[in-house]
Amino acid sequence: MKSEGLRVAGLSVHLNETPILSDINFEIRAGETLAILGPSGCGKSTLLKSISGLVPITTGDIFWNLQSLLSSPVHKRGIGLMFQNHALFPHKTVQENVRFGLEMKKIPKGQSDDAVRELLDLVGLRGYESRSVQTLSGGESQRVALARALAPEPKLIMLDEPFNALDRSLRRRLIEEIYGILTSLGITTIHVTHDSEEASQVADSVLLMDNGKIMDHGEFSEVIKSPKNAISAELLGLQTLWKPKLENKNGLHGLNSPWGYKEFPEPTASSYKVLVRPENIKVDPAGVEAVVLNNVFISGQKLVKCSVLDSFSVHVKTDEEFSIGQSIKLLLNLEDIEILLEHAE
Amino acid sequence: MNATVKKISALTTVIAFLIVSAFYTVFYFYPVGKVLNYGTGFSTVSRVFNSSATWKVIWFTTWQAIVSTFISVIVGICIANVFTKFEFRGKQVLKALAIIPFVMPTVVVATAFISVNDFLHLNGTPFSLQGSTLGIIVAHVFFNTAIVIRTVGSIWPQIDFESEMAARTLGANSCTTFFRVTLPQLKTSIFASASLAFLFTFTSFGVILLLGGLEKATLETEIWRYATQRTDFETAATLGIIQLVIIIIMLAVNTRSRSLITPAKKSAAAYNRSNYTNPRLIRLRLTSCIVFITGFLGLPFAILIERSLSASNGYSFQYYKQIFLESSERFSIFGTRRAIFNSLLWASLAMVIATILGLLAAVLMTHKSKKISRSSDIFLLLPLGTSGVLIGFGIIVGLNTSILDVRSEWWIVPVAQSILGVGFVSRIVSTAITNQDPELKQAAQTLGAGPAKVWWHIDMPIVSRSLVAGATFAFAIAIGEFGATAFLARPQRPTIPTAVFNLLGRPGAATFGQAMALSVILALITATAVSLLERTGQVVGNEI
Repeated sequence: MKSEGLRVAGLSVHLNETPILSDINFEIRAGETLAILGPSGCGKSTLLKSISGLVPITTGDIFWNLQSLLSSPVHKRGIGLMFQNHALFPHKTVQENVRFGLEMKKIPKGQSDDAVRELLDLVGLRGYESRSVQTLSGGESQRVALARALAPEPKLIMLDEPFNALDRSLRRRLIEEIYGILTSLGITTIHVTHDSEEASQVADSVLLMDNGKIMDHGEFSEVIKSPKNAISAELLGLQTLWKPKLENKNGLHGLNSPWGYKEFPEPTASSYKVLVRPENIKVDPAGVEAVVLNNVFISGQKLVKCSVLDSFSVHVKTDEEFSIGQSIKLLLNLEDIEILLEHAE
Repeated sequence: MNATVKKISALTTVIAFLIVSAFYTVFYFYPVGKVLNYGTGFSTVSRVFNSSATWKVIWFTTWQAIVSTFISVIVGICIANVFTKFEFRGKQVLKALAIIPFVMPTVVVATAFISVNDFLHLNGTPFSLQGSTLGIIVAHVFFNTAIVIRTVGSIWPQIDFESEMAARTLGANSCTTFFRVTLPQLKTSIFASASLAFLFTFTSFGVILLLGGLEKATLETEIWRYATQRTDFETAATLGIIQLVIIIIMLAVNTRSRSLITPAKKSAAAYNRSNYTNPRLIRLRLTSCIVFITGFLGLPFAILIERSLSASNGYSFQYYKQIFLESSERFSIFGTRRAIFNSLLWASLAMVIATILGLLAAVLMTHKSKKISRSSDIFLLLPLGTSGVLIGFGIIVGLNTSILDVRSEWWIVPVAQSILGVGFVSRIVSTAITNQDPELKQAAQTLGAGPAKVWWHIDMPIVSRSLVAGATFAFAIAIGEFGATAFLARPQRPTIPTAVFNLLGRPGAATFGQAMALSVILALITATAVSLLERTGQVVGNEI
């Protein structure tokens, strides 16, 4: 057991007798960042709210440095939460918003004024002190929300889809700025998102969630290298997954692909998906017949989507130019075909 | 827009303007102007202001209004909190029950508390509700809590629940969160409902007259008393002016507060707030809310019904039978059967007038030209805040010239009753039109609908629904109207409220029982009208 940081043990949350979160277990070392990745409605926000104490948990426990937090009410947990919609107090100015947490800690005004000034400096909003928060742009509100969450010096800060409504360039800039600040302060962070690229930019480790359960958890590079199941692969934004036709040869299950026959490692599982990474497919005259469907650009990387023998489609990473409808040949090594469980075990 | 459509639109505006302004000039501005004329004589003004009795009346009127408003706001906020935060079975029924007192005629509310007084034998005790300030305040709280619940309760769910959660994560306990984060965001809606509650309690007539008796005089009852019993029109008029000035100030506060209520930003997350509260607290708050609503808001009605059925020989429909007896019977001098007929007929007429004129006024209030829409909005606001007594008094002193001597005509009663109704209908309809999402029309246009089809498929359903709501509301106001009617209804042409007032003025169990029975009938008629209003799904509280 790690000694410092957050540990969530067997946490379940039921709302109106409907399970929202089931048996959540994970740890974060102090000073590290964990990204929680999952589709909308999978329970990510509820997880953050239950850690902060806003949502009562049904079973399980939450520890900080081995001490259970369950007996502490929300306002005494010292866990900051930056809300998806920022949740700035509309009746207060920028300065009053940022100062709120300091007032709650009964920090004298002169001292809190200095702290507010420093924080506004840090988030690049010096001079915005007396502005009404209703006049701020999305990015500015974002930074006020961060400054406000940081002001009471929380031991853990949780960011709930903080860059959701922002355009790509602003998002990139804010990620750099905000994580620059968080890293320099050494604050333990949980970052919730449904964007795998964003998660990879900010986090040391990633936790994949679907339907109120953990799908996968680990270092980002490890998880992306060998996803536990097809849902994890999809959450991580891995392209080209399809459901194969199963075959039974001499009592062994296998997949008869255009590139050859591949045996299944676990013939008892009921449902599988095939994963082929775009970088593993090569355009080669010795390959299998395919037709170019379109060109897509994902994170600035060009991928060509092709239909293989009219039965499934794959993405190919290539710099070559092809016109739509053009016939090409694709080569793939059998060992690069990854067979994943369709659902979590 | 083609030329024909433009011409029709301009013509409609002109016709609407002519009809609405003619109606208000004759039946509101001229009579009220006449009151101003009567009441601004130097000698009268100095006599009225030099009299200690005047200051006593102003003081009592003001402090009872402030206390009533304050308690109503506190109680209303507590109940609105429960309605906002918790989902529970029977919530809709409870919500409807909590709103009912607001639309109940003052006479019904006053008799309900008289019946409570009688049932609990409170007369002569410090808790007597008749002839006491306590009775007045309790009845006012009963009325105005509903306004607060409706106004604050409609804004509360719109405030960003995440801002409350943010405060909690920043170290604020639930109490600090409420006072520092929730309450400031509700401030404008609280001011709006408090100013309205103050206006109603300040100009309250039926409650003061029936529960306060002779000792507890307010400006409103004094205007009536000076005009009808002492025939001192000058003093009555001066008191009317004082009242009008205070009303205008309160209307300005109310309008300003309503304009500051900003529509909530669309929140990505819809919360069931019950999930965020300790279950033990939910039970406690729910129980106290249910007990209060059923006890304080429901019990007076239950006792009113009980008293109306409680005859000397046990429970029976004796008083109801007496109400419908022919004129040869003993208690028919109060014309109870006639009163029911008159009330239904006149309220229906008032509703028709209010609906037609209200629709025309809404045309002006929603006009594209800001000048027209804004000036008609202000033009129509004043009659909405003027008390019935002042309108009735104005008609008595104003419409008695050789050219326009209509104050004794039977139809002047429904006309006077409709003045308030016009204001309500126009507000409900114009709010529905202006709040309409402009993208709905644009969507219809992109789908191939021309101006006529856009009007038929998009505008018409919204207008007709709000018009039905406005009409029903106008009917409910007219049938319970007491202030103007008390001036204008001749003794031989009573309405239910005037008949109840007359019955209560006579001693005896039979007249008391009949007054109770007649109040129950009035309450039933009003409740039926209001249930129709609820079915249209129109949120009326906000427009008011």
